[in-house]
Amino acid sequence: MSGLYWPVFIFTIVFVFIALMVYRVLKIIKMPVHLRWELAPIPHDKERYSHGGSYLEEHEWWRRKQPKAFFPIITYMAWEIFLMKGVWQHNRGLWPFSFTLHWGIYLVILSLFFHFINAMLLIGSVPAAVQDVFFSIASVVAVTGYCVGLFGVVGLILKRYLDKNYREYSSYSTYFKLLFLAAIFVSGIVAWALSNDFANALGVFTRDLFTVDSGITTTAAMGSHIIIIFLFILYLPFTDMVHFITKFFTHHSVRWDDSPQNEKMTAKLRDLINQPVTWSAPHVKSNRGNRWGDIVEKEND
Amino acid sequence: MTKKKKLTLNDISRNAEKRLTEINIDELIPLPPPYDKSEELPGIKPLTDDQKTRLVDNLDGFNALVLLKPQSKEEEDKFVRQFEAGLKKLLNKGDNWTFLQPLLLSLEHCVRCQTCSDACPVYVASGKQEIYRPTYRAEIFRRLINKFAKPGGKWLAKLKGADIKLNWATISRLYELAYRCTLCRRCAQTCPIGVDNGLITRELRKLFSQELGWAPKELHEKGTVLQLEVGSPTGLRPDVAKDNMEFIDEDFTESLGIKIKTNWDKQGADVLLLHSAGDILSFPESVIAFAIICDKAGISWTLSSDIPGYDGVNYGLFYDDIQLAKVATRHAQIAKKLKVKKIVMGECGHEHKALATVADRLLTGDLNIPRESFITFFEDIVFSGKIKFDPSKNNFPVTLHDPCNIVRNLGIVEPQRRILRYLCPQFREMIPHGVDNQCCGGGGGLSVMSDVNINDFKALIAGRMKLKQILEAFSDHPRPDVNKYLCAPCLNCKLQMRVIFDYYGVQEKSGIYIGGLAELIVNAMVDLKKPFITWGEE
Ligand code: SF4
Ligand code: SF4
Repeated sequence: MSGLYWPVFIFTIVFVFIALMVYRVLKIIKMPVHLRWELAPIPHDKERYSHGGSYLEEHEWWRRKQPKAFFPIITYMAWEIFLMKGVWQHNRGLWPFSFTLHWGIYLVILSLFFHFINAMLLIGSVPAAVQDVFFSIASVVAVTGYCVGLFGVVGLILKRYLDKNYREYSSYSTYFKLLFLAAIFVSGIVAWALSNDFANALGVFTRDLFTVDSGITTTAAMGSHIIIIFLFILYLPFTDMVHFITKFFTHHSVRWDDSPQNEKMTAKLRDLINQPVTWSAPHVKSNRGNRWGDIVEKEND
Repeated sequence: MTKKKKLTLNDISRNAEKRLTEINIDELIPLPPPYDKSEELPGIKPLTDDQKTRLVDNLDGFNALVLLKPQSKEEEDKFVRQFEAGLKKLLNKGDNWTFLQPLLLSLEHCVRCQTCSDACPVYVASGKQEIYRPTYRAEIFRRLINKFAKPGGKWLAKLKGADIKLNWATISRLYELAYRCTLCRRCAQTCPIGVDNGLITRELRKLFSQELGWAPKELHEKGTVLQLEVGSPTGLRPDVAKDNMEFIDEDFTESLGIKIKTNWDKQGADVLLLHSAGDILSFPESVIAFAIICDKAGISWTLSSDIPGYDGVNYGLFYDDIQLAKVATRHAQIAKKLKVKKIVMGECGHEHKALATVADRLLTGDLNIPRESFITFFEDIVFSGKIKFDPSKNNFPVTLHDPCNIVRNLGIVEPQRRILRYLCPQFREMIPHGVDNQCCGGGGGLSVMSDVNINDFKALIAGRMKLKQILEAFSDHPRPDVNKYLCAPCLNCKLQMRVIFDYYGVQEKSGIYIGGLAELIVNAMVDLKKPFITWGEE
């Protein structure tokens, strides 16, 4: 691939990726308010989080507004995202592979960021010495990411295939996803090994991409690596790997959602209770269309 | 012994007549002596010949649901079609607004990392039988939803290699399997993604109940339906409940030498006490202890004799949103009618969860009456100085069971401990405790289910981790010569402990007695001349 195909290919994928992610997130956000289903411990309860307590530990808790702390939530998520704390605590055998795979991905993402910086440095014609420093950082970050990630993904593939606790729960799509990730790391290592100035070449490529230079070109190895990365980005919104975003909702919108009913919610709830129900069991008495609220209240007349 | 074949997900839909697995008591995790000899236990009660002919028995040899064998292939197919329709309704905003978001988040984001498995008391206690793994049931359900309730599901299931057949074998087994989970949510707590296999199980139960009309009779017919009709799943009608309480009041007045009188239907009282009626029948000392504490603290309180105002249980929480909403709404209407300032939820864990949090978004307007746990209510009284205590009266070993619905689900952890640390000099914790507690094994409605041989499952497997940690907490006094008190402030937990204790003979072999928190508070009162806790003596 050469010339304008590159920007078209890459920017289209980025656009589609963002659109799909926005769609997935909106789909979650627009779901109706649900019944409370919180689970202790809840980090925003700063005073009681250390023992797993909630505001319900307070005598007549409704008499004062219950503050929600922000910082403990960030700390909780940071431990989870960067150290895989939950897996460390409850699934030590998986942790080395899960941890390295995630860090492999983080480092590859970070290296993309550095390639972008390098492209800006090239456009800005900053002194070569400064550029060299950034090229070196980008190389180290990328190659470390490839190696660490490859270790993790190979470990996970083997674990899933060889360990009876995982094998039954791993479908073709599970292996496909892992092999796809492995392809990113392997193609990255190959591109790096076959290139004299890996980060420099990627910096130049990124510059040409952003300046939509029709002369944009790259080697076969590097090109394959880039194509695999972007195809993966296109594939990602269709997988459970979107948990990097949806984890926010599983925690904030369910596990930690202990907000008592408020006026805004009441209005929404009144609408929901007015919806028709179609459940068929005799005790529901829906008659394929009675309203939720009526069904509940009729019984109590 | 022949080695068991590894169970696969697809096995669920094969050989509808055959059991999916057989449970061997020797494969369960060991218990400390003297409970370590499986040959001395009653074992698993086999199904009678009549039960074998009539009932579906294709899961694990236990039977909770008494599901009758269908009479024809057409009948089987009808149920399968209904199940498929129910799968779609679970994803429909109108039908399932109540839990749509949590359900979809849990269905769509599990990465099958199995981090949750070892947190499950049922799975671990069983010696890690695949069938009880939290993800076994959830993954089958997920694959069925993906295949039958989502666009393009059928070919995507094949493409992804995640195809599951939907047939009579699948649904009949899933139904019974949905009641091998106590909804304790230990698994959910450990999931790094935030997936909740307990919720998935409850949604599965809900599908069966709300679409097929299948639910355990103890929870539905003799549970919520009876409660809404006559007042209580125990069958206690209002006048009988009042008569019983009158008799109990007199009995305790006589034995304790202080006047005890239950208040009924007192308009404008500060507090409506919402006990479980099961306490009136099985643990009357708990109800009396509440009355004594409230009277001594000068609280204006009342019980309600409206249907079902004297029974705070709400089994809808375990299996059916509509029934849950009906019962919770009724409780709130009664409080409103009595014009009380607040409802105090008694020693019943699932009542707490149903009324305090889950129903918070069902009770709108003036039905949203303030609701408080008996635990914070008691803490306020105990440390208010209104009552004088002598903790030396409670100088015996005491440990605390944390009901999942009060602790893990509501986050009420410390107030009960502050009371126990103050009033019980020999209080000791179980390990683990608080929000990491082990479930009693009777959660999710199991504690009130007793058909066929499900009690054997509850004693042998579901409650095994609990029994182990109770025994370990009292390991300094393993013999029955020292009376020990297991404080389990929840009726369902107490009932389940009774099942376990009876099965193993724990009271006789280890001298452990089950009771609530209120009894310990009353037992330590200076004003009370006679001991309130009588260790099984009348
Ligand atoms: S429920 Fe959570 S912990 Fe369990 S397998 Fe799925 S992602 Fe892993
Ligand atoms: S909710 Fe409890 S019993 Fe059910 S699968 Fe999870 S850990 Fe096991």
